[in-house]
Amino acid sequence: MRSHRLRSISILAPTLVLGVAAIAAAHTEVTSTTPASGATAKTSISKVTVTFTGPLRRGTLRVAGPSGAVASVGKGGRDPRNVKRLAVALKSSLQAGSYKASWTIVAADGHDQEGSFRFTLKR
Amino acid sequence: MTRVRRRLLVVALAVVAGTLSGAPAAAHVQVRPAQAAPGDPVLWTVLVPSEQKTGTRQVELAVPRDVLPFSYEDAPGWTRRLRMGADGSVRTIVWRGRTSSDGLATFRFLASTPERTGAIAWKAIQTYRDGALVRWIGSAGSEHPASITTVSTSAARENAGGERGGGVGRSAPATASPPPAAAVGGGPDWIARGLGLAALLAAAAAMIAVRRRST
Repeated sequence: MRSHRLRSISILAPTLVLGVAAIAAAHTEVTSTTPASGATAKTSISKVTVTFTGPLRRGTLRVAGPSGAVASVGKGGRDPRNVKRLAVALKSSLQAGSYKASWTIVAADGHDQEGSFRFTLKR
Repeated sequence: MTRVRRRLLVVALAVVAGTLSGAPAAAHVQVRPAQAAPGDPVLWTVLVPSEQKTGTRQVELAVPRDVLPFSYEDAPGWTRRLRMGADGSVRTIVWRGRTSSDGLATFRFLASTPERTGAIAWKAIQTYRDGALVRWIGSAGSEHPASITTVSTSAARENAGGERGGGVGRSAPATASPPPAAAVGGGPDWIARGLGLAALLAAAAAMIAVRRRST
């Protein structure tokens, strides 16, 4: 009897997991970034981008450098050449080290989201 | 049929035909609503009446600049194709199917309005089953006008994407406080992830318990 109940839990619980995953999937998600999250790139790169699964209404993208100093120019925004992409220009003469890019978006469906990723720059 | 009767019939038909052709092209392709709030996900309805001898077989709708469609209702008996612009945005939506000669085709989709206020024109090309084309691209008052939607801050927000975010605060011109949703952006994701993780742990525990009892 008890194992029967446990068995039904073991069936129900994964169903709940799948259900919740389906809710989360309805939202716009990141498909790729440049540089890639966790990747290493050259200090000579001139911009950072984040590409999403769906079209964006608007958004911001900011990059902070090794000492927390602002490394991006302005607050970024939707790439005029790609309706699903955020882009921001980087300042010139960046120092090597760890960088953090933070973004906010309002997707076309009205959903607002935010996130961040890190990457490393070296000479 | 006598000659007189035949003449009467011809006259009657001519009167009917005259009445029909005298009627203006009233049944326009329309895109509704006529008023929408800026930067708002809206449910759009395209009405395509057939006003000629034959029905409609194709409707091509140009998506106005900075209108962002993101979900489309599947119209029974119709196929839908999207043509994208260079920036990945939807430029035109093409529906192909078939209506009877007095048939009405309706298409619905969700799309976000531009952030900027002003009039947006919905240009459409209707193709009849006999191959005739009607370009609904003219100005208001022309014979074949494009449907116009006025994007205005005085229009009520629809928020047809179903998100709480940004819904309430922005519709009122004199907003007292910013929309609270902005502060908790990403909240539901964490709740969902937490629930998912809890369920996963429960499942694992249950499976271990089941295995222990059966051995």
